[in-house]
Amino acid sequence: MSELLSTVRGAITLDIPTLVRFRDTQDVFRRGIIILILVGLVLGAVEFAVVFVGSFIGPSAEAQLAEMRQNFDQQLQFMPPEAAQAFEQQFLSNFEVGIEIAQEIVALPTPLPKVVGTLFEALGAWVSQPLVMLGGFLAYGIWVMLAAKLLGGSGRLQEFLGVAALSSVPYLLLVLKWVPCLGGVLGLVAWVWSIVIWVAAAAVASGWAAPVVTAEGDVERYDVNWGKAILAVILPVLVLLVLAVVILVISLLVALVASLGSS
Amino acid sequence: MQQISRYAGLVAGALFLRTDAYEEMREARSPFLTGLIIMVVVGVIIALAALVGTALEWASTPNLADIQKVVYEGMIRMPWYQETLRMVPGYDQIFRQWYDFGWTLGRAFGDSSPGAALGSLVLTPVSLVIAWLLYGLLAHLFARLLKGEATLSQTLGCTALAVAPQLLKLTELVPFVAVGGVVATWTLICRYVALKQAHRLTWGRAFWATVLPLLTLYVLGLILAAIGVLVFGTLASALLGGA
Repeated sequence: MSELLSTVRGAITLDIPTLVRFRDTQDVFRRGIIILILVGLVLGAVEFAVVFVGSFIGPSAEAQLAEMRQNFDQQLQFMPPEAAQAFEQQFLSNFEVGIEIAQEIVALPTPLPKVVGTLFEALGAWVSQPLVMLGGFLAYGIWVMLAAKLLGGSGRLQEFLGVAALSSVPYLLLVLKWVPCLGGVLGLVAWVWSIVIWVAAAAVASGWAAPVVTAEGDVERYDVNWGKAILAVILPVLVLLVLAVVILVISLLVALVASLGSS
Repeated sequence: MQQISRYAGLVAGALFLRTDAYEEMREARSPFLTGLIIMVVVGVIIALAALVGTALEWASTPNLADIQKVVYEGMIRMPWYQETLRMVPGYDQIFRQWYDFGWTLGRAFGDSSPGAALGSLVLTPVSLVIAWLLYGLLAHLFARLLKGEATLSQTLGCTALAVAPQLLKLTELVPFVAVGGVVATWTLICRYVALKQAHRLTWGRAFWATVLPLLTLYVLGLILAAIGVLVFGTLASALLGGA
């Protein structure tokens, strides 16, 4: 446990010797994944508590509908009268029936008591949280690893993914996302902090953190090639952006040619 | 019992990308048979978990036929429906037909009843085995072209261990869990390690040996879909022309 906490502390303080030690542990991939799953479970637990408890003490469906209607009415005041009337006729009247349908479905009987269903839904969301995080992490990780390899990195996939899994730790800040005004800021901080750990992990796992050894044979510090590590982390995003722009340009050209052909 | 714990150890090792698990499979007496057994057992286990999860989900959601009725009755109360009905005579019948057709289609493709989950007890292991054999054969072909050293049995044995991430679907014991894309991505990573280890390939060659079978299957799927559309279109036009 103390080893785990020490690794987590080392990761969030970008302590290169800690990351190197973690890279060299046996089963680094398993350890990294366990840390990521724990982070996901902690975040999911908060969400579970808020959703499940909120379903009992939160506002009723009628109150939520009334609040929604009030919001629409406020927005209608800023519209020209004709537009407001059209919006009211074409959207709001249908929307309200839609809400009634939803309420009727919620009121339909189920074989198990309703509270069990609510519990299952909250539990399902809780368990899904680490799986979603893990999916995103692995999908991005293999592209970063590929970029690092193409840039001359020498690490193994297991070590890279294991160390990079520590990038999930800053997301623990999101347990406070329910605090008003603070949630968005914390999300941004966690994201940036996580990217920085990705960079450090790429450097450590790709052999771009060379130890500087003293005359006595002790490691004094690490010389890190940050440039290559940063490039490896952002290259997948850059490639995706370039691809998106190319596809957009080709689509526009095809549309242009088609419109010229038809005219 | 010893055999079960050996298989469990192999699968756990493969899941966490331990090269010794893939090495052990490579050197097993019959990697193909061991792989086949693991594949079928994992398939049955995850299908059982899905069966329990689906049954609990079914018991905590309203009856689909009741939902269908409530939605229909609600939709025909909507102003847009009433307006269309005034403008298009007979619209109520057209709407009803399409509405029922949509629900039938939805049930056919997304049936999550316990009955359908019971069927997956057979379908899941069978589909896993078919996907494994298709991928394994192509991966062996490409790996050998890239100077790989493994036999077909070793390739199939090692790639069978890439079924390990399917065990994440055990979480589906809990209703409403969305496993998402994590299984596919993790499987791809396991396949890379399996081919690298089985064929003693460099990372670059192992990468291509992992990816090329998928690209080939994708292109084959597209060609088959195009042929299917062509044949179906020709048949439909011939039938309509004949009528």
